[in-house]
Amino acid sequence: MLETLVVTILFNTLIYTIILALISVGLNMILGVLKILNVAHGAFFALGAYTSVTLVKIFLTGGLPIFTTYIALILAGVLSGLIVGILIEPTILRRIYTRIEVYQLLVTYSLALIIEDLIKFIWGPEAKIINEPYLYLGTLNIGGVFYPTYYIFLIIVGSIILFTTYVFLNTTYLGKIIYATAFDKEISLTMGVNVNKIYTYSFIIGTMLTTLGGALMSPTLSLQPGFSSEYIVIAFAIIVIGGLGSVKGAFLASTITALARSITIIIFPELELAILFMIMVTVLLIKPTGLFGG
Amino acid sequence: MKPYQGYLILLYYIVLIIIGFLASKYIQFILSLALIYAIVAMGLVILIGYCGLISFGQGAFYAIGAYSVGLIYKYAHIENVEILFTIGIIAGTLISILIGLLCIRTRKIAFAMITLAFTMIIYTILLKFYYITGGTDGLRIPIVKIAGFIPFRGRELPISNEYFFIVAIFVVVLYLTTRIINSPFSYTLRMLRDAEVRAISLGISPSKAYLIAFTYSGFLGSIAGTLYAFLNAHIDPSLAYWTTSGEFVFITILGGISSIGGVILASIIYTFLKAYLIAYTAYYWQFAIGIMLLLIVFLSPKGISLIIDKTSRVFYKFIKLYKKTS
Repeated sequence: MLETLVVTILFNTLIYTIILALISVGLNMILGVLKILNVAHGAFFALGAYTSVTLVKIFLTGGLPIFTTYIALILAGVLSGLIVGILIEPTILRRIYTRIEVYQLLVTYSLALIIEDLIKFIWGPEAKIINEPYLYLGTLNIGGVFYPTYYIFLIIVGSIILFTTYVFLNTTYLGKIIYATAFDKEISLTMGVNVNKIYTYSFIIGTMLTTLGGALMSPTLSLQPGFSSEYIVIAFAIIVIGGLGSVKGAFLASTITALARSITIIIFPELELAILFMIMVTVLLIKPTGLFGG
Repeated sequence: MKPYQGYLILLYYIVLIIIGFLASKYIQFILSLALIYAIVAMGLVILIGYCGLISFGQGAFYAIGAYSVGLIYKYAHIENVEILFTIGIIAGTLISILIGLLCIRTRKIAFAMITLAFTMIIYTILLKFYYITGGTDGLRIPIVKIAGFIPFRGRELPISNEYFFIVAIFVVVLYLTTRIINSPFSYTLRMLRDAEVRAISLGISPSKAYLIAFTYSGFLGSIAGTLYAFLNAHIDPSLAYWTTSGEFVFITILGGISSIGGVILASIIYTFLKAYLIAYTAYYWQFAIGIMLLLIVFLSPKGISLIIDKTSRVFYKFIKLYKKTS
């Protein structure tokens, strides 16, 4: 009994950590480099999920075998992130870097509204389900608990994506330039860094992380208009707990909240979502800059 | 404060009532909703415009006001509108003091986030403790009675009773808020916003001033919440969801952050636009509002208040011209 309980908690924590980290690391990266709190991030998440619906359907109706849909999911995430990033950063966000915070919030909020309705316009307001990739893998017995094998796939792919991002930011030349630009824009500019380009790159990477998260989650969800607002508010909570602009903090905060949520779901299910915000309030009161904030 | 402003507010009341008599019940409903939003937005003017604190948590007090009406009716079977209204405001204000004590320890983005967290906590409590609050089904607000005998929803009158009540409360709130904005206290808040350290060195207690401002905005939020409960006759947890609070902040910014006239105009424009866009386009009203917002941010940086400023300047010029010629 106790064993299954521990397995359940650990496994749920793992799944939840990966999903939360994919959303919040991207959000935090955009906040850290571009200094913009992107309210439209949840809409990007939804966009990734919806794109994967279309791509998987195309793959299946094209007569390709079912295992190729996993490639379709990843492709959908990468593609939608790339397109959104290229379209939005140079045209809209670049104009508001010098404006006060409130207007930046307003612009990203209106972007969220516009994208939400574009999704309704393209995919229609009814619920969308693609569970072929989810059902194909069947279930797995882990210590007496049956889990869909798709979650294992999600954990593996999600960790690869997060690990790659971490390695990219910390070891490559471009990653170091991104860190430098986030730290001091003016000095980077005088050192000959093309800041505009770096902003576009970081926005694309941040967006791609969340669209990948959406694409990977889409087989387990029933997609409805407006479902993204729940994810964006959770992502806000996580970046606040982890420290604004800190990628490491976002990951740690994802783990903490995932663990807290998995435990609360079993002990006191009414507080399932509230526990996240209670942690957030506690962290803000003790250390207003978050766990890893400067 | 200019001495005639008290009379001016009486004039607003009469004008609004006349508009009510001329308009249909549907227009009255939307206008009442706009006035309710304007009440919340006035609280946010004090908080955002004068303290520089962006609160994403007004929805919390809005929901507490509405739910205390609903819950008291459900469990205590009180139908008197005055009692429900008073209890709703008291509950909202008390909780805003409690939340405010914690929130005012933070500034800037941390403040926005902590208020967001509180409204989400209230939301999840309303949602998950469904055996008390009714969950997503929400609560029904009955036909309430003024002074125990007059039916509050008089459908046979050309003007609905809610409209009378909401306009009266709105005008009182408008008077109070203009008094606060013209008082020395608002200068304290402005100084704290612009130079907190200097203000402290002059002997001003920031936490005390901020707490008063926060409580006042919570007080206005709970007033609006109770009024919404009476108007809509049905409430659900989405009142405390962060998008509701976002909508309030959004109206305030649209109105130009620190202009009372601006936010009132903004809430009226926003509510009517939303109502008619939903009526004509069903699914795509957000798109239109988003585009409009982008245009306002890029073309008119000060929001709607810029338009008010310009028109009032033209108006004053006319008055001057008139004085010269006469």
